Amino acid sequence: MNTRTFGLLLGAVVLIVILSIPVFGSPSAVDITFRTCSLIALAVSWNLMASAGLISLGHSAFFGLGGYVVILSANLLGMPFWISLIASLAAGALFGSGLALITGRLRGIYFAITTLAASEGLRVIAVMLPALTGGAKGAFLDAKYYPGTFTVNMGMSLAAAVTCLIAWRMSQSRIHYAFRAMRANEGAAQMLGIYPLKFRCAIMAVSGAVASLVGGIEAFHGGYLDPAIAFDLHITITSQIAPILGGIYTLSGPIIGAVATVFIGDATRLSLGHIEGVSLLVFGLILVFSILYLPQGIRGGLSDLWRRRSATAEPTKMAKP
Amino acid sequence: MTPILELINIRVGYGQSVVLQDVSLNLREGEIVCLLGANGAGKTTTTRVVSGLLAPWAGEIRYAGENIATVPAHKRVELGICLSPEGRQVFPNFSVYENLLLGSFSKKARLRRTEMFDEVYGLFPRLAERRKQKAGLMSGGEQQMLAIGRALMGCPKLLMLDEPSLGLGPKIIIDVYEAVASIAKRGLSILFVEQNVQAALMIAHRGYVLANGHIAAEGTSAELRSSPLVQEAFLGKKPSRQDLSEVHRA
Repeated sequence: MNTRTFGLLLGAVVLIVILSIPVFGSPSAVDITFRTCSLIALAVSWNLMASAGLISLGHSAFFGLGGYVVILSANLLGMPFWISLIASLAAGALFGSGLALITGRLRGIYFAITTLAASEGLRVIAVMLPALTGGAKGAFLDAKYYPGTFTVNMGMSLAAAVTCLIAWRMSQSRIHYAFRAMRANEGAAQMLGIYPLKFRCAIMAVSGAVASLVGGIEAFHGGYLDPAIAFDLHITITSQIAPILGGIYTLSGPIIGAVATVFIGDATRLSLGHIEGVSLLVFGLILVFSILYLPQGIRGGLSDLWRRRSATAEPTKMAKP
Repeated sequence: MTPILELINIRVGYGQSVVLQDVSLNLREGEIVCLLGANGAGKTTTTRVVSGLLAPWAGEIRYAGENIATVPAHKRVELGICLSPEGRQVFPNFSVYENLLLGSFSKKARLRRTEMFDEVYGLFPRLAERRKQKAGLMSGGEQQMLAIGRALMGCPKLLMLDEPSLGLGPKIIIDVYEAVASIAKRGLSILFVEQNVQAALMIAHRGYVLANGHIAAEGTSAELRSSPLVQEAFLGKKPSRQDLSEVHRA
């Protein structure tokens, strides 16, 4: 079995699992799946931008924006669940492509700082508009718009599944070459007839829409939002820890990383939670060591292991790589 | 007949410093023209202006008779202006095949992709042998072939090569130049930048000598080869007005 069929098979299994747990799972399994799916979608969305050379330090901007759009469109306009999610999707896409236009040719660290500023800017705006957002006190989702636990959980599973499918579809098409070329050398990419701004707008629209959608579903899930929760730096950090831990710039890396992050986080909290602060310390240490010893992420480590095992099993194959 | 490329009084620079003062040159269809000059003379800047990576401050760029000064770089590739840049700039983590694939990214080139692959692999059999190898792991000469092949994948009418002999051994230079000459036989117009005067004048029909942002001399290869001014331009001495008029008369 080659890696491609293996990957497709694994992908199919993951899709079936995350889509069936909201239907059949126990409450705790449903909760873990919800959090994992949330992180999968965020991580894949972050990785999409990173693959085009755009390191985002402000994914919480999209996340918080989506959350507020959902709460406002439900409370003020009475939009039902799915419609307000579509609104948050659109808002994220608009904000993403707008940010791409504003940042223009900024690269690397300059681009990253701009995204960080965008997130902080949105947070301040949310605080300063108490009439609309409830300001620092926050805003509750009107309980009559809550669509029920099952719908919310299923929504998140679907969001993660669709995000992964989009990322997979992109990795199959020719545009992923354009993104890789932009990441490697934007000047050279331009010489070959690639218009970087167009691709930037497109990838940031997709990435922003996904992160915003996750924020929207999370807002339904929590039922309450204030600027500190919506534009939490924690969102930004976990949505890049997961792809880095799993394997940056790859398709499966962010997914593996998201599962691992949730698993490590839960395991340390459950086993060490009774001693104040130790669980976070251990969680942090595990992350540091895994990045030290698995620079290509978990995915890279696994494929190295796989290659070494098949090399020792069939030494004749070594000759022609 | 209108020249395929015509630069008229181009003035451009970076920030405060002016690199090209007042450059005019032209290139007829099917012609191989080389741009000679010492370090810092403005050769690479000229290719950047033509490919659209740098907008001129003043002057006109006429391509097949039309002013393209405001056409962005990616559209110029569609028009058929392809550049093999200075320092090759191949994507080191991409395979040879993927690098070439990216060369045919524009819509027009995509339609002729298979044909162009055959052509490039025919021209540089070495690339066909190494199509799965990462570009960064190849020798300088092979990377140069790849850079030229990648530019050819864009189906150019005007091919620009910026220092194709840079950092290559004498034997490889000959290989690369033979390939360039055989590309030109297919009716492409080629503008190439060179410091290696002897090699350049072997294959070029005509040449221009850039010095301090001016065209210091122009003429056929034979004329340039015998001109003392070419020597001076490379040694960096500013040519006097009298020298200039002599070359123009010649």
